Amino acid sequence: MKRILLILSAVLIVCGIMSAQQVYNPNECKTLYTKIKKHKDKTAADDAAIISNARGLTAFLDYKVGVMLQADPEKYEQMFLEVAATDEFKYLNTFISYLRSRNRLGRLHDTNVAAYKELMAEYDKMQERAKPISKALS
Amino acid sequence: MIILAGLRHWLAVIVCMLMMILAACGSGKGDNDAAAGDSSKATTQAQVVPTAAYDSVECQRLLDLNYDIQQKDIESLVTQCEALVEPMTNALYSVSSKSGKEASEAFRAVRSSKPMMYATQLAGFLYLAESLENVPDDLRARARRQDELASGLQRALNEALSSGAKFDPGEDDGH
Repeated sequence: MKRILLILSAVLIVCGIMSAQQVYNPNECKTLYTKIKKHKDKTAADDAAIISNARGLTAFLDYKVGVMLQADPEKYEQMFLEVAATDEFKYLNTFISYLRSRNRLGRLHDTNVAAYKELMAEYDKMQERAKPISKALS
Repeated sequence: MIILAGLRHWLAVIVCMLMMILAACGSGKGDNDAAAGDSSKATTQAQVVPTAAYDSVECQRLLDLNYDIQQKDIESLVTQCEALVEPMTNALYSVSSKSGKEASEAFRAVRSSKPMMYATQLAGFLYLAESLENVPDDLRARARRQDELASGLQRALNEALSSGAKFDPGEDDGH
């Protein structure tokens, strides 16, 4: 009985960790990216999906930054270029630019403002972490 | 004796003149080589030179506005993007056609250039420019055109990167 409870607890903890992780959906990102680029009408639900995916993409790039920081600075350029060529990088740049524009124009729905601020805090933190790389590349 | 002395004098003059001519020819060749060097350098630089409308001071001012761009700044933003985005895209495509160390150096020159930095960063403001109210239709259309071209810039970067993957940056591939 004790063993079963222990296993169940472990499963619950793993599930909790997995659900807390920010993820993105490549297919959804592609659809949203196209919507932005083609200036199609976007609903509050679209904006929420963009923010959610952008948080996942930021987490992905933050992971890449961590890998780069552990590497030899001489390898930064090649590693950065490989990241810059990914769809993730392209999507995130577009999503951040779009969301900042919407925020500047006051067009973000109230329900998305809190999530937008959390995203921007995570994004700024990732950029701050990447500063040694940016400095080495400039 | 006087005649011999006169001949020696003229001989010395002729030798001096020949030496001057040779020196002039030598320096001429050097200048040509230098010019050729400058020319090839100019060709490399030409790959990252935007059109005449490019103004780095204005680009920096627009960047510093950081999403606080107003309607009055849109004309300038679009003009700078027109001066930068397409030339930078062409520069990247010209890199894709090279190989080995030449491609490596050309790519590095383009990627790390200030115009490239301004092109990619200012393009991020184009969505805002298109979305602002009271922007004249023709200006909005120009902004949209630049936004589309900026997507092409990303594709050109990817293409240059994929061709760049064939060489080791900074290393001579022996060709």
